[in-house]
Amino acid sequence: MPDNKEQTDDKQKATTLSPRDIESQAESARIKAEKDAADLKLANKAAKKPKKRSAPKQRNTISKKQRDESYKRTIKRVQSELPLPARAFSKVIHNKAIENISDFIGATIARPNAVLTGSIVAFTLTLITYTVSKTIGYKLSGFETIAAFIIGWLLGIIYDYFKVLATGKKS
Amino acid sequence: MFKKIVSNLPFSPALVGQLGLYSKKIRQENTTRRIGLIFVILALIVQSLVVFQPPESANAANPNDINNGDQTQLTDNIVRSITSTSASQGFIDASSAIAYPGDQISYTINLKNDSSSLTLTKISDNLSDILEYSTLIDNGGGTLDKTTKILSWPDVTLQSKTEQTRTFAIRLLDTIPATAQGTYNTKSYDCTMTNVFGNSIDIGVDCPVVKTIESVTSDLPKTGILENLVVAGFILTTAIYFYARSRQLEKEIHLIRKDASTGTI
Repeated sequence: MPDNKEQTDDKQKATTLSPRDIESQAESARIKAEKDAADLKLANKAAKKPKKRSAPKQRNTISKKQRDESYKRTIKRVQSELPLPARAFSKVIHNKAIENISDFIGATIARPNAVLTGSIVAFTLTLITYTVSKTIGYKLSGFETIAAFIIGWLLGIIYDYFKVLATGKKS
Repeated sequence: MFKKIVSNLPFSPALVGQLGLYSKKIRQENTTRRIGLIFVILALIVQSLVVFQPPESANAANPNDINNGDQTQLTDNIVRSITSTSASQGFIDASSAIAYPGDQISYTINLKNDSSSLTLTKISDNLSDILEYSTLIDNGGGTLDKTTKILSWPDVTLQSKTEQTRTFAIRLLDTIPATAQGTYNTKSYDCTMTNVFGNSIDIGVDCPVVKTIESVTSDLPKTGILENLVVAGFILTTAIYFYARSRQLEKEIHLIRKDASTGTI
């Protein structure tokens, strides 16, 4: 019942408003709607932008500087627990330049298996050659040990290469 | 790897597991490097023997000795030539194949008088190089001087445009000696039987395997004490450094793991 009453009131009002008033009311409603739409757009943009900015903070990445500092701190702490000669040697091997060079050489020409096979082959071949030569009386050139070491070293490198190929793991 | 794990450890404690795996790897590397260092030291001991107490050649003949297998070229009008046949290998040209222990080889020497006059000539052949690996089984009517190893026949007079031949046979020793090659006379015990009579005939001999040591070492470049010391020093230093480094890293990883487990890191 009250609804019917309101409807009748509106009808009465509409009949009382002049056509100019109706036009101005429509105009103001249109302007309001446009303003609302613009506000909504701005609000959406604003909502999107802070999301982008906050992304790195959420990932929490560690910078190189932070990692370096953490490494130095850890090494310093470890060194403080070592006896003096070991501490001195640790300082040498963890010097940035020496550490990089050592890592490179240790993974290339001075690989553990290459040095091991090189030394085993050098020892074995030179011993056999020397014993036979001393017994029979052959002259040696003096290059035998170096040559044998090179052969063994190459064998070690080839072994490591095929090992990596087969297992897919770097030794 | 060490740096990567250690630098990230405070930010990601889960890396302790990876540090444990790396610790295992370093321990294995340490063992390999230790054995490597031991063998490097052993190799250097043997190398120092090679350099400071080298074996002497057992065939250091005097340079004034007879050049085995060589013969002075005679300047008369006689044309000399020699051929060889291996009876043990189907009567083939002996110089075209390797001679094996026990093989029988016959040599035929030929003298031809190319001049228009009568010529008196001596016939002799130096067998000193051949007899290092063989024995004379048929002297073909000649006489072998056991000291000079020269096989000679009585002098012959060759009519103009006529020729004479002599044939003798040898048998290779059952055991080919591995005697060292001559220091001055490099044709001595060089695994080749050379006979020069006008032309030269070289027959390869199947020498013992140990003889390859001599042929290989003689092909290597000659290196003196200094070069050997430099190379040995470099290899030894590298082996010691990397062994000590892996040992040090092993200790440090142990301490880091301890700190990580107590919560210090």
